[in-house]
This record gives sequence, C-alpha cells and structure tokens, in this order.
Amino acid sequence: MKKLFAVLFAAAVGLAFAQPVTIGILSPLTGGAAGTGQAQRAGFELALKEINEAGGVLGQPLRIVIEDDRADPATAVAAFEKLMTEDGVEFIAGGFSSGATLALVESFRTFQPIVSWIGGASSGIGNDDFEGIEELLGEEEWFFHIHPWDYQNVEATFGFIRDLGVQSVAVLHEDGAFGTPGAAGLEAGVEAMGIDVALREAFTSTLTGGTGDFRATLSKVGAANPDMLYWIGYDSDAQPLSSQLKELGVAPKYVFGAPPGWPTGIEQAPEMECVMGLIGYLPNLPNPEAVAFAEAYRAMHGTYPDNYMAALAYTQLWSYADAINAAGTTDQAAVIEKLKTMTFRSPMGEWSFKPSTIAKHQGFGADMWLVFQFQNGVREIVWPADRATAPLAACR
Amino acid sequence: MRRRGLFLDLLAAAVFVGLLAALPAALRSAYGQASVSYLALGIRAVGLAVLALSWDLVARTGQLSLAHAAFYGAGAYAAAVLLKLTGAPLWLGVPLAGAVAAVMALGLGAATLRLYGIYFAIATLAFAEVLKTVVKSLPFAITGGSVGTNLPPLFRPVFVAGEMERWEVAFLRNRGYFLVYLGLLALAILVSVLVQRSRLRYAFTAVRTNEAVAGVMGVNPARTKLVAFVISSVIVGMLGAIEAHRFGSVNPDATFSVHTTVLALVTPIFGGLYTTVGPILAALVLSGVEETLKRTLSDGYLVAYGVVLVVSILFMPRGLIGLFRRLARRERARRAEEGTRAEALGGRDA
Repeated sequence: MKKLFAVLFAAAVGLAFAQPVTIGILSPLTGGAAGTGQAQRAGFELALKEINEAGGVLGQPLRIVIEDDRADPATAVAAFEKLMTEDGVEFIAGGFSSGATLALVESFRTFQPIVSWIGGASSGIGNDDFEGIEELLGEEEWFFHIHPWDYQNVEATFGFIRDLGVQSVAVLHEDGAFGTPGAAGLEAGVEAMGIDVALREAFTSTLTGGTGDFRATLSKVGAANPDMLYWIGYDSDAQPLSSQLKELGVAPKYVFGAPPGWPTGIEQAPEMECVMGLIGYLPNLPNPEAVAFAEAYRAMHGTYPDNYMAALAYTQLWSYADAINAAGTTDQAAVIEKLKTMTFRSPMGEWSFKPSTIAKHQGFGADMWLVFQFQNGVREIVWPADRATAPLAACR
Repeated sequence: MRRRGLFLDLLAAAVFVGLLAALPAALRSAYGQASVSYLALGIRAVGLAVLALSWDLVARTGQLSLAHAAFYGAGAYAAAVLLKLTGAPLWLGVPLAGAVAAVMALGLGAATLRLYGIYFAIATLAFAEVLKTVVKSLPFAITGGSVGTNLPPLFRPVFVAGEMERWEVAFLRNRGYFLVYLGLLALAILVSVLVQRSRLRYAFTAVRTNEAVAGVMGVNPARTKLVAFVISSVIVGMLGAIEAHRFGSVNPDATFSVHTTVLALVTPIFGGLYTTVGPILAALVLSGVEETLKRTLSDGYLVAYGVVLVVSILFMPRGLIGLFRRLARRERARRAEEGTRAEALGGRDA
C-alpha cells in the first residue's frame, strides 16, 4: 500500500513538473512560397487545437514554435539552429523548399532531432550529377518524409495519362530546377508508353522573372495539335497561360497543369474551365476524415482548405502527437519506433511510414495524388475513378 | 598626414575585426548552446556587410551597378565547377571564384562602363540573366543545368559521443564560417580604406562628380570605373563561393537571384554611401532590427521592417553616417555658441 502510494505520489509530482512537449516547425510564412507556408500554418493550428482539446501530449498541452524560413537557405539554417538551441525542441516538423532543405542537411545531421518533413520532394534519384534529399537523408533513422518524392509525383501522372488513352502530348515547362527535370522525366515516361511527345519547350516562369507572355510558345502548341497539353510551372503562371490559350484559340483535348500549388480563388476564373491538375487533398473528398477536416478547418479559419499542404501539416502534427502519446515518453528511440510501426489517420485516409527507393520512412506515395478538373468554378476530382466526384470533361 | 590617417584607419579596422573575432568565444561563454543561433545571425550580418561594402566600392565612381547577383553567382559556380571537374581542394575554389568574377567584371566593364546611369544599370542587371541562361545551357556534367549541383561544406566538425554536446559541433561549424566571413570582411575593409586614403579616392570622386572634368584633370574615367568594378567583383565572387559551400548546393534561379543585388544596394544607402563604416554599420543594424522584429512581431515583421527602411531613408537621405555627422555638427555649433556666449559674458564681467 505504501509502495503504491509512493508510486502514485511520484507520478503526480512528475506530471506536475512535466515540461510540455514542444515541436519546432519551419515554414515559408513570407516570400515567394508564403501561400503554401500560410496554408501549412493553418493546418498546424487546427491540429494543435484538436490535439490539446483531446488531452494534449503526455498529459500536457502540446506547444508548437513556428519559424519563418522564407524558403531561403540562410534563413532556414538560422531558424533551425534557433529552434534547437534557444527553444530546445526535440522534434522538427514543416518543410517546403528543396533548396532550403539541402542547406539544412548538415545542421540536421549535427543535431539529429527527429525530423518529420512535408517538403523537399527532390529525391536526386535518376540524376547522377546531383544528390537530392532522399539520397542525402533517406537512410537516417531519425528522418521521416511525409510528402511524396518527385518520382512518385510523376508515377501518379503516368497512371492518369495511361488511363486517359491520349496519342500525343505537348510538354511546356519552366526552365528552372523544378520544371526541367520534371519535363525530362515526363517525356521519357510518356515515350515509354508509346505516346508521341509532339513538342517540348521551356519558358521562364513569371516567378523567376518571366514576362507572363506565353503566346509564341502556345502558338507552337496549336501548330503541333496534341491531344494533351501538359505544363509544369508555378502558381503565378496558371492564369496567364490559361487565358492566352483561350485567346489564341488553342484547344487541346486535355490541358493539365502541374504547379506546386494553385492561387486562391482561381477556380472562379472562366479561363480555368476544364484545366486539370494534381493535388493531394480536396475538401470534396467523400471519406469521413476529409469531410471532418474540411468542416473543422472552415470553422476555425472561415474558408475551406484550398491548398493540400494544410492537410499535410495537420496530418504531420497529429502523427507526432499520436506517436509520442503511444510511446509514453519523449525518448527519441521510443518515438521513432512508434512512428515506424503505427498507422495514422489523415484527411487523405489511413497511412503509415514505409520504405521508398532509398528512404527508410516514407509517408505518402503516388497513391496520395488526385487529378482534379475545374468544372463550373469547382475543383471536381476526376481520377482515380474510385474517388472521382465528377466524370472527366474533354475541352473540345 | 595621409599616412597617419591611413595608419589610424587600419588600426581602427584591426580593432573592430579583432573584437568581432572574439565574438564567438564571448557568445559561447555568455549564452552556452544559444550561441549557435546567435552566431548564425552573426554570419548573416557579416555576409551582408561584405555584400554592401563591395557594392559601395563601385558606387563611389558614380555607377549604379546591378551586377552583384551575377558576380556572386559566377563565384559560386566557379567553386562548384572546379570541384566537379577536378576534385581540387575545397579552399582553392574560393580564390578561384574571385579570379573568375574579376575576369567577368573586366569583360562586362569593358563593354558597359562607357554607358551612363540607367543604361549602365540595365546592362549590368541583364548580365545576371545572361549568366543564368548560360549556366542552364551548358552541359549537365559541368554545371548541373537547371537543377544545379552540390558542394561539400568547408567545415565538417565531427561529433564525438561523450566528449562533446551536439550543439558544440554546430558551434564549431558556425565559428569556422563566421571567421571566414570575417576574413572576407577584413579584406573588403582593407581595400576600402586603401582606396579612401590613396589618390584613387580623388579619382573615384572626380569621376562620380563630373567625368568630363575628371578627364581634363588627367583621370581616365573608364579605367577608374573598371578598377572599382573589378575589385568589387572579386570580393563578392568569393562570398558566393563560400555561401555555396555553406548551403550545400547551387542552382541557377537561386544563385543568380536579383535579391542579392537588392540587398547589396539597399544596405549601403541605409548606412551612408561612399564610406567604409556606413555599409558595415547598416548591415549590423539592419540584421539586428530584422531579427528583433521577427522575434517580436511574428506576423507582418517584414512590413514593419520595410516601413523602418523606407522611413529611415526618407528622413536620413545620407544614411546613418549622414545622421551622425549632422548631430556632430550641431553639437560643435552648440559648443561654439556657448563658448562665444561665455566669452561675451566674461568680457562684460571684465
């Protein structure tokens, strides 16, 4: 009896003096990627509210410290080192830019906290002259990568194109680190499927100093007359490119855009009608977790989530909370073990960490991606068929 | 008199650099593991000072150069390509970066330095875009094309379990980079002081004030501007190489970013143009202000920072140095007035 009392007393004292668990987050809250960073923040805030309403982590309210990394290497390194040395966090979340992630590799290796990352899709696989994030960090036991890798994004696209049954594709891509390798991979994969690449042309994105005048390039697309136009660029290219297509009367049967995100409210623009794109989450997904997330997000932020990064951030924070609670401790080895073995819930459905090409712990793969199409001012899911909310419409 | 002035300037610079060199140890003993992140901020501030002072050297000849991103990128890529093609020792890339940037400055300068004002500015701005396109177009095996290429770090201290904490490894790495950046700043200060205390200063000022008159006085404007342009490019080229190693990779869009040029010209304007102290002071102040705002106003800190910058430039058209000079003049005038009054009173008493 005395022993039991002593144990209970020690536990009560321990709880009274327990430090709340703090998770440090790096997000691009300002700069060119601020739209994505703010979406991430909105997702983190919702998850934090729900986690703490559900009892927190290890009996204490969970704390998060969000640092703005501006998607900039220098800022990201300073912000990460602040989180590790001033804020004393043991768990790192967030992430977006591959460039900033590459700059963080040395610091990650030095401190070796648990890093759960929803950015940095650049794997480096298939490029002998460049080591990407999967090649540099994938084998580390403490590194968990939730967002699909670049080759998994392409894999999803191939699946869609194969199902579409097109005969020819024109590929337009921005001429930077995002568009060029993506277009090369797409061209090789499409040709391997026996589909003709009628045109492949680079442009300078409006994000990297381009003028936003795509008319000359689009005229070539018109002359090539492909079944499908596939463009890889940035958010800011979506509207000028789509409106100039309409202006020139260039009308491939299908138009597919692959920016990392889409501008808020762009579905209302008439020129976007029938344009398709890849996305990780949409509020009109029918599964109950997706609906619950969309409604909770709207209740907290006043709008439905329009950037899949909000759902990924929400998913990421919940996975940390569940794993630490299941471990019953913040001990790194115990939390890693739970992260590796548990199945987590998310707006996109159940998921768990599995090995990818190199990485030991990869969250989502090609199966996360959905193809949506702008139809009457709404993003309707048109692929895969089992999750479609509307049939695919041809542009002509 | 000029030699005495030069000696005093160099002494002051040596004291300043010496004090900064002692900063890592002071931070470590005062803040322990938090010194790692303070040192990271120090690296950014010193890097900005190098960028600003090197830009100011060109501004002293009256040229609005927008080529800093080009030289920074050229230096970064020179180090990366050297490593990729030859596997040369890491540190060889840094001086080579300066040399490559100098050669590019010679070529660009010879072609553009006869242009004036906005025409020169546009030509130099275009140069960064040209280099970016060249880098993207070169064979993938050389520059990595649009994707870029990786570089190893200049410092990779090894963690030894039981002998040190993990933060100490980060501290050693940051201290290494801080001292390298500081070395580059010392070089920039040395060049700036030598220019200010030599006949070059008169040549620079004459060219800036009136090229025709400078020519009549025997100063060769084109050559003078070229000297400033090349010196400046060497410093910023080396900075580009060091940062490429620090961040682990180069890629065309990020490495030739116009953001580098904007930082390089805004900072000395805020501090006070055509001086050695102004750009350095501005870099330290602006870095401190930005970080303070970031920590106190997590939302909208960049708006507040922009307001601080715009208001400062509006009310301090000659920068921080101009403000200090104005205050010093006022103080001297006040003392002179007091002295006159005292004399007058003394006269009456007599």
